[in-house]
Amino acid sequence: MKIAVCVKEIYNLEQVKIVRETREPILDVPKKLDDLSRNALEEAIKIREKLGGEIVAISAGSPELRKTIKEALAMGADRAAIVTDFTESSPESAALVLSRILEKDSYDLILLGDASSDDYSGQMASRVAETLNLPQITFVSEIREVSDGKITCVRDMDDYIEVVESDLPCVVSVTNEINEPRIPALKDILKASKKPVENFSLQDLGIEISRSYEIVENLAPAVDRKQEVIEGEAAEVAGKIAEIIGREV
Amino acid sequence: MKALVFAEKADHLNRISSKLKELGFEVHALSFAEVNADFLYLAGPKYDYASITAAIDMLSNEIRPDLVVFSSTKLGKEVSSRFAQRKNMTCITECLDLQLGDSSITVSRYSLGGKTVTKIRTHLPAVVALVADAIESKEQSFQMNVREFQIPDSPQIRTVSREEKRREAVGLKEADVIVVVGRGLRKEEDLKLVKELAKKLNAEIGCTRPLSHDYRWLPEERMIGLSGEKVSPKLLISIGVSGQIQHAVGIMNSKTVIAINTDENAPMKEHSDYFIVGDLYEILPELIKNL
Ligand SMILES: Cc1cc2nc3c(=O)[nH]c(=O)nc-3n(C[C@H](O)[C@H](O)[C@H](O)COP(=O)(O)OP(=O)(O)OC[C@H]3O[C@@H](n4cnc5c(N)ncnc54)[C@H](O)[C@@H]3O)c2cc1C
Repeated sequence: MKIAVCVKEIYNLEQVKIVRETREPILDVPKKLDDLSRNALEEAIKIREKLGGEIVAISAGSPELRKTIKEALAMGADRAAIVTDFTESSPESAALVLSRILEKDSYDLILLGDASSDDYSGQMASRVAETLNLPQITFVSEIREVSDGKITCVRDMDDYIEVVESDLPCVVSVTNEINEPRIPALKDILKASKKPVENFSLQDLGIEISRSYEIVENLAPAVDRKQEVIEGEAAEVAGKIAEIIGREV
Repeated sequence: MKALVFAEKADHLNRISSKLKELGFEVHALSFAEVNADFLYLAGPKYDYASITAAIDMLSNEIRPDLVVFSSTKLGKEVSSRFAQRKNMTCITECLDLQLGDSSITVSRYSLGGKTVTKIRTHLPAVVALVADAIESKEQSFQMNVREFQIPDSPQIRTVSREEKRREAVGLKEADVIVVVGRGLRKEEDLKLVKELAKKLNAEIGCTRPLSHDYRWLPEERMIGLSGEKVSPKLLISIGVSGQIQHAVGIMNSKTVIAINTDENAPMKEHSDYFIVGDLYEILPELIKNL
């Protein structure tokens, strides 16, 4: 089984601070592999444990991706194919880049997260599948069975649960609950730097990115919490909380 | 200006149609039920992306809409982006509002996991998926031309079974007081402590995603955050919740927030007016006694 996992690097959101006066985010923080990408990767590793085969991590991002992609290799991807001069992040341009990388090889299964924890746009599975002319199974909370040429999945939709099957190759997007991604051990992290990484430029792939929309503003909502810290004995603290509740309702 | 709309839920469709009409669009709707529209294409229900995408594609070739609109449900996001890719168009999902400009639209959506709200302008034609609950609109009058429409049966995957989820009516949106519980709770039985507190305060119970989607201790309707409900009570009491942004975005519009957490450095602190450092198992019984 040859599996591609599309992964995304995102800002470490916990570290993103907001400028108090302007409400603008400060994006001068390190990047990391997105949570949902880890879920997709974990699912791929489980399939490889059962059926054997190869896992290729595919990604488009900034030059920092050369470092971030090691997280995917440490988790268990066998190799990676990445573009590191991709700074425009619209879903359509990301899908184009990922599809071009995917086209360079042939895969039985393409896995990704059902959305990313930063943009939460949820378009990548559909766009990649449409571009590659493949069937898709989105919002998968359980992969029931994968065999030669066929996959059966449980989909967790808004109002219903669905069991569906598809022929392979197929694009599958997974939910955050599908598994608990493994944390790489030190030896896996050390091994990761020896794994092969193919690094393409947009030019190598013959892609020119054009912007299809304009960001008019990107600001944090103006909520200013008092952030008053209360500590002490349970009984005393409970009294204070009751007092606040009494004032507020 | 013409808009083509699809939503699998009639109430979502009605909300979105009214909004589009208010903005001056002639509204064409593909629907499984009788809804408000100038031109209604009434079809038997189908839930596979391939058939719905094909239907939208057919209708859009016929109608030539300036804007194609979906409800930002999971199905809506899946179909809107597959359709947009087929047409080589921009698609913006999870939109919280919609404004019409000069042959362009402007929408708002959360970015950075909910840390910020981004305003995005794109030229028409475009595809958007709107969060129906967030869209405000007044009632409008429509032409109501109805036509039966056959969605082409062209699935690319096989449906083995489909089971409706059990739904519970939850009054989170209207609640004045909400008690939110997170993974600080050690076991399901301990929910009775939270329920007792909620009862004393006449409050609704909300939760973080692990409690509803991983442990299934509470129904999904009670989950608050980026992928759940956005609430705006007068008072919200958050118990054993770390306050990661994907959750915190859902409580932003609360008037007052009290949080109880053992970790003085939990991100929840910056989302709280009163941040109580302490153990919920010690504080809640005392608090219940005090009320
Ligand atoms: C794309 C995406 C979308 C998401 N959407 C949502 C969403 O809509 N809603 C949502 O909730 N999450 C969402 N999440 C998950 C979110 O990122 C967090 O993982 C989740 O909110 C954490 O839940 P929690 O605070 O209950 O658990 P934890 O992060 O584990 O926090 C538990 C907290 O309890 C405290 N605690 C422990 N014991 C006690 C005690 N005895 N007394 C008091 N405090 C105690 C701990 O200090 C800790 O801060 C999403 C994630 C992704 C990737």
